[in-house]
Amino acid sequence: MSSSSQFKQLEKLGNGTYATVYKGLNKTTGAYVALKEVKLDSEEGTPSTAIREISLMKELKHENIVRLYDVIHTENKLTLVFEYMDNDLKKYMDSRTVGNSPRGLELNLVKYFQWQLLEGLAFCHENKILHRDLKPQNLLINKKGALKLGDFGLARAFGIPVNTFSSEVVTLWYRAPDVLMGSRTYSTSIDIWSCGCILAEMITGKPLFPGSNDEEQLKLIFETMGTPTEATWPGVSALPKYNPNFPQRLPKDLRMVLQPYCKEPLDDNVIDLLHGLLQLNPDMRLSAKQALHHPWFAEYYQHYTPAPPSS
Amino acid sequence: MISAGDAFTYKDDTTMLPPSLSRTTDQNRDLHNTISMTRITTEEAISSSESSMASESSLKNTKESIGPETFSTNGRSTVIKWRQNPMEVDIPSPRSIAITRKQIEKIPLSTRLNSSYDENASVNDFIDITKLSTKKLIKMISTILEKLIKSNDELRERNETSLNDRTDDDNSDESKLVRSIKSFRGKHIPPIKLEQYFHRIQKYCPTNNLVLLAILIYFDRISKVLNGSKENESDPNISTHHHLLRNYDCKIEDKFLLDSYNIHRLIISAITVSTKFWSDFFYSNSRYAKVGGISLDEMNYLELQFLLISNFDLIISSEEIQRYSGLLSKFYISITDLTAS
Repeated sequence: MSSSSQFKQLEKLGNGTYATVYKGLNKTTGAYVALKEVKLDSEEGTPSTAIREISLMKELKHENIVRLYDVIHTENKLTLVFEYMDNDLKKYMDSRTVGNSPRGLELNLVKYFQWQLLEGLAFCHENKILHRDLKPQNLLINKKGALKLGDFGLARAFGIPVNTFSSEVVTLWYRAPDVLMGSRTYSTSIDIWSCGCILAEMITGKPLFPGSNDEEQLKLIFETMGTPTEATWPGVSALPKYNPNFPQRLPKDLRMVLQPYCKEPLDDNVIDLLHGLLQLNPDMRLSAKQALHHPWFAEYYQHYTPAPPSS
Repeated sequence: MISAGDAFTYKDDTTMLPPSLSRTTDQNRDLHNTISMTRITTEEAISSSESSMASESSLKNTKESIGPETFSTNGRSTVIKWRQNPMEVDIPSPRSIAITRKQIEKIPLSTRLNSSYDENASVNDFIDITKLSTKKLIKMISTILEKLIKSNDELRERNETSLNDRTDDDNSDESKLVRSIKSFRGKHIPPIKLEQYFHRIQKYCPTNNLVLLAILIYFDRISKVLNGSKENESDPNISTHHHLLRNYDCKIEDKFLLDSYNIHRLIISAITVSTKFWSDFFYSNSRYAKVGGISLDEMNYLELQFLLISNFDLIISSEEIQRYSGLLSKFYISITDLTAS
């Protein structure tokens, strides 16, 4: 049984979307935890992000999803007690930057991380939950090389009719083109696009599509992936923010785009997987389950449980 | 005893959870929990014209514990751990039993595969809540809730004497939860009919059908978990905390019963929570408070209490939505038939 006095609050780890996160020590067990403090605002009451994070994460028990152990309610705040993770993927990649030039991760680590990302995501999707904010900051890692999905503040249950979805979701750089064009009928494919962006970012060390607004974001995507047409993506012109005057671009060779930033040679498999994840047409994107069966991961699914790469 | 939970019939509760969140079956527990049907079902709450049929039903699934169930108190903080669903009762509805094998065969295979109990899923029961007008849905929900609170009001009246001879001086787990339940109780009955109340909310804080239907499911879940029933008392796997709450000797006012005194506050709290969970578009609590007729402080407090008593169990599977849509329309038809005849 735990209480707020059971945890010793240690240093601040960061500010989440709606809360402050501290490192905590469970005085009984000696284990570290992450304490996410949610202020109960008087205008807003309990933030919807906290409501969703608690109700969704308490059901999601998977080794690639950060575990929510407890919720402690005190006078004017809720404290969510999470499994402690050493770092997040964003900070980890930043720490590897030499001077001004970003460095991607070793490909075997990229593969191990991507595998775990897809495992965690496949579990969410199986359980009818969309994450809707996948990005390196929200992927937590530890020294053993484990990667876990965190921050479910924007997550949503799906699969139920009459749902009002917002297209104002997912951090811009990781937002799918259909969502950027105002689609509100998206489903699991919204998270898959983000996975593709993250995979490319792990390879090169820099974000794949770092737009500064919706318009520029689409422009960057189309410059690399090509501008969609009714032929390549039936229905695209019916999207609310579709613009027939989008500059027409042809798709680039992804290998040519990424290889200059990666020391190791990129094989056909990883490029093919990227294409599967970064399909403009959401219906064409791989599912998380399908991606896990992609030949790039052959060494993992043949042995089922991947061992962390030796570094 | 009539609670929201009794207004509907239940089938395998695993349908509440997405398939892979369903708990694994533990044979021993199953045997342990084999229970007979509680008779306080539909007929009492709805007094429908349908005849009731008793049936033995076994507790279908077990509770892989979602964690120890505690609302422990240490000083001023409450630790919320996930309660397991202690009650997973399968009570077939009177009508559903009457469905013949032949009828079942008419059900499309996909429907049958989706529902673990095809006896409960009749094609006729299905209503598409996306297509239903919100006005009609509000009418249906209000009708069933009015019916329920009327029965519960009478029940409370009969037990009025016991209301004041209770001391709440201890800060034990139960009294904390009981306090949460009681916090919805107003001093007076708000002079607004439920249907008008819903319309008022819908006018100033428009929401969708899913959010509205969900609150009925939440009321049901809460009463199922908090009130429980006799049968499970002997279950050693259920923690003391729950055991006590579920105890039949438990004072009537400590139960989670929807009545005229608490229903409005429960509705506005549930709608606020349900909207925040299900919809990407929602309003500030100050707006919900104004529309609901309570102060902002009370709104915030009740919202949190609602989350606590519902144990943050807000996920609803599409199967369950369908099932409730069916039950709701079935109930509504039986009521309107009654008034027509």
